[in-house]
Amino acid sequence: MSLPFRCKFFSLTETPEDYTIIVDEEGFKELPQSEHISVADATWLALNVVSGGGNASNSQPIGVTKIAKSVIAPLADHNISVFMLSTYQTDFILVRERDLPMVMHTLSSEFTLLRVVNGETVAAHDLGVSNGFVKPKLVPRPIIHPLSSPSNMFCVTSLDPDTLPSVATLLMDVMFYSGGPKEPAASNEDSSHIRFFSFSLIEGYISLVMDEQTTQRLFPNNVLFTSASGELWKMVRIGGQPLGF
Amino acid sequence: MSGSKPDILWSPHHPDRYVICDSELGLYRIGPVGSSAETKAGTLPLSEETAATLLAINSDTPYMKCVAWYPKHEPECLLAVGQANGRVVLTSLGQSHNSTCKELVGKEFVPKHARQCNTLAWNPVDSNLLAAGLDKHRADFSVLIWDISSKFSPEASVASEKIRLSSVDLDSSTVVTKPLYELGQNDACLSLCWLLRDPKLLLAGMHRNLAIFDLRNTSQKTFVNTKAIQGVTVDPHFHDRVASFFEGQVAIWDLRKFEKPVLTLTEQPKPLTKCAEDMELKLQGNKQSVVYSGIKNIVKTSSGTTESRRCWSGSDRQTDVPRYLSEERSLALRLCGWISRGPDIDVEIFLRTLEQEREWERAAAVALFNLDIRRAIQILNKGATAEKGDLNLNVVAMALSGYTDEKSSLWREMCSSLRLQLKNPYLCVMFAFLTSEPGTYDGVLYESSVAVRDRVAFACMFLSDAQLPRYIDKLTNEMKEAGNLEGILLTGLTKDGVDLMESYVDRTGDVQTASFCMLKGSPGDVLKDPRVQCWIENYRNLLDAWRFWHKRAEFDIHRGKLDPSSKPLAQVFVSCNFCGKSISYSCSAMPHQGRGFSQYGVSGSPTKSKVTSCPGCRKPLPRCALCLMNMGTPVSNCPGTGKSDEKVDLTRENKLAQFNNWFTWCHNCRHGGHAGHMLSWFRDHTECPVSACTCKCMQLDTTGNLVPSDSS
Repeated sequence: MSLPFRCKFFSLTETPEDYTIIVDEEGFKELPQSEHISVADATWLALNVVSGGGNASNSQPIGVTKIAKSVIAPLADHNISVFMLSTYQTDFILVRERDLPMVMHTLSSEFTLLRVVNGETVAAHDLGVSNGFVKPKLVPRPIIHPLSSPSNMFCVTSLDPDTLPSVATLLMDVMFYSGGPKEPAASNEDSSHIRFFSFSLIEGYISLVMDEQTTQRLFPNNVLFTSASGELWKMVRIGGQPLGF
Repeated sequence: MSGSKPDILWSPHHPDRYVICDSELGLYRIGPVGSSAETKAGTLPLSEETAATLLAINSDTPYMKCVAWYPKHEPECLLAVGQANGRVVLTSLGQSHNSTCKELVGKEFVPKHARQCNTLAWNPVDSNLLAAGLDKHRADFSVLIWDISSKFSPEASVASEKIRLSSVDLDSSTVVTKPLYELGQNDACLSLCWLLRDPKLLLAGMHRNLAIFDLRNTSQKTFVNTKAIQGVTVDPHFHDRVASFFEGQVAIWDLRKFEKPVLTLTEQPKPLTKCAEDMELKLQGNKQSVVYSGIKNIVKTSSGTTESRRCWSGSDRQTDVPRYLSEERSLALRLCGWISRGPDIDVEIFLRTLEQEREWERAAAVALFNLDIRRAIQILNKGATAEKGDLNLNVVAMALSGYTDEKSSLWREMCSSLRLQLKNPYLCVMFAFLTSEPGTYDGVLYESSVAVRDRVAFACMFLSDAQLPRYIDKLTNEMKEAGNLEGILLTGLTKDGVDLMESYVDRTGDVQTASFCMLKGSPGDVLKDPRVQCWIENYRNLLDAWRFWHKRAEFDIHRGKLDPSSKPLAQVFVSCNFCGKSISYSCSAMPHQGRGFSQYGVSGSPTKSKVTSCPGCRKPLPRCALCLMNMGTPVSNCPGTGKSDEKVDLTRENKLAQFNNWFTWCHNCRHGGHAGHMLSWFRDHTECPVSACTCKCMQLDTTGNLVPSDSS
């Protein structure tokens, strides 16, 4: 499936509050200027954990649990905010560009850092700053945000890019035109049910996150990739104050 | 349904069959095109000579993305197909009488998480193993190795998760959900290839690197970061050589030194696959240099043609056929091989040669063109009565003997029309000659089955000064168009000849003939033609690629003799460590011609004195690391003196002995010695013979382990 534009990273997520778009620089140029779009103040860089780079013990896929422990926690100890985007294919950890030196310094002891330049993977040069960093303080990490869990179950799924044209109208319908009395519950304020839909197109791979009812109701059989075990996901919302540092 | 390119592969069992995997599987067989009148339904023309016939179709499996053929002979119709959702399905194409085939067909191998299957590879040795390369999933592996003999067993599946399969799938023997091995995550797998040298090793083209997995130890993998990750394939003749590509670039890898590709190729020019015998050299034969200009040029400069009317041999009757004679035409006849020396047109020797080779019809025609009917009849009779001869030739002889120059005779009328039914072209042209008006010999001149040289010779005899150049020009263009090397006779080794050769090479890729032919064209402008240089370089590269290094070296020597400008100047010298001067200093003050500075280490024949110290400063030359003798420069072998005739013409045995004494050294550690000593040392050792030097000299040269294809 060839894209007519050069955007390689695109993600759109619909939540009850807003639509969030994560897009790379090329894609950002395509977006129109509008008062309705608010842009975050920083540029973010996407990190991806790759296992097996010479490390013999890594024979299991790296999951978010491991990432949380080995990447997110150390970064948090250095007051570095992360933005996680998980797709059907992989997990992305987005960090602010200005935090990059600290990120590299923090992670370089545990990880080998690589960059992708023009499609080639090369070693990332240490930005050379090793002085002036605050030593991490090992403090207990209390849970300070309230958590809630909607009742609907979610599917993390994908589809063959070649079939995208045939479901494009369906997707648009789900994403933009299905506010209204589609759910049996009367209003969206019913806290047990949440509107959530996420569509990502990253390096040619499609990832969809939507609730189970939507998949069954709207999509024809065999179009969506599902796990053979039919696994479903439960959502935990981290609410309350603004997140991050 | 699929927007991507269809997959295509050759059958491993039948060299003329292939399968195309698109929305359905189609099995095709390649064969020669039938007669032009018929185009069978289901036949696809592929080229002028070949067409593909559809043998079988299988549209059972939807969403197909890739296909792989079962490598063993039984069952030969078995195929594995990878689907868009990652399932691998076994199916068949063509006849399937085998019972194992029936057991296997329809089996499905289902990954835990659906994603596209990009590539499949059957293990060539253990044919139960089928490797599938899939797109990435955050919680799953990209390379799954299935055992096609395994059965579905609910206990073995993922613990405590119900496998949600349709009711059709629940027939327990046809669905397998647990792969034998799971390898590689975080990156999609785009191409796969089992290593031929070790069937437990699998080479995978992952999204950003090439990885080698070992089934014996799945946690370890060797990998190298690269963009060239598509289409990995092992060289079937050279199990350590692997190729992969990305966009317009092909990378060649040596598995023994996997860190970087050995070679990267971009937009390779048309591959050379043929190397025909150089039969056309016969045309050159023993011509002198002026002859190289070709008949076309010869006839252009005519010093005066005399027209004569000769008599038919053996009778007083004159022909009304004018014959043309001139020095140039005689020269041309010589080139055509009809006559040897002398101004007389005497083809007798040629006729006898043809008779000996049993080319009766041709000999008869040549005799006839020389106005000797009796000789022609005699030849035909010989042909009829010879062993395995053609009795019909007697009949032809009879017809010939009825020759009459009466224009309105029955004989003439019949022969003129019936000759077209004669199968042999020479017989045909004989009668064409006899029944044509003088000067209108198209029946002879344009009979394409008659050899070019014969037609040209005929033209030189019977076409006037006005007609001859036109015919030669026309014929030359015909030859050039077709790339027919017989036309060299006409063009000679000139620019015209290069054009003709270019047409020939375009058609056949035969750079061997082109190189050898053009080398003989010693006029510099032919050799300087960039096309000729290109053919020569391509030929040399071809010989190198096929490891015919000795032949290529012989070719270089041959070329150096014919074209001295092709010998490169020496670019490196051996210089003395102490004084810095070249150790061949005593031989000449200028840089010397010729390759091979190592010959300066030769210890010469016993009668010449050996120089064991630097000519410049008298310090001793290095010693061989093994025999501890000083290296030496013989005074006799110095081509730099310019008197190349003085060079000793070494016989082959001498040369071989000499090489053993040549000085050679490792460019890494700088230690060395006599070539013979070094070679025998490294047969049993890997490290440098100098104590405390751990350099693995011989292994640094990747081509050092290759054996030449032509061991001279």
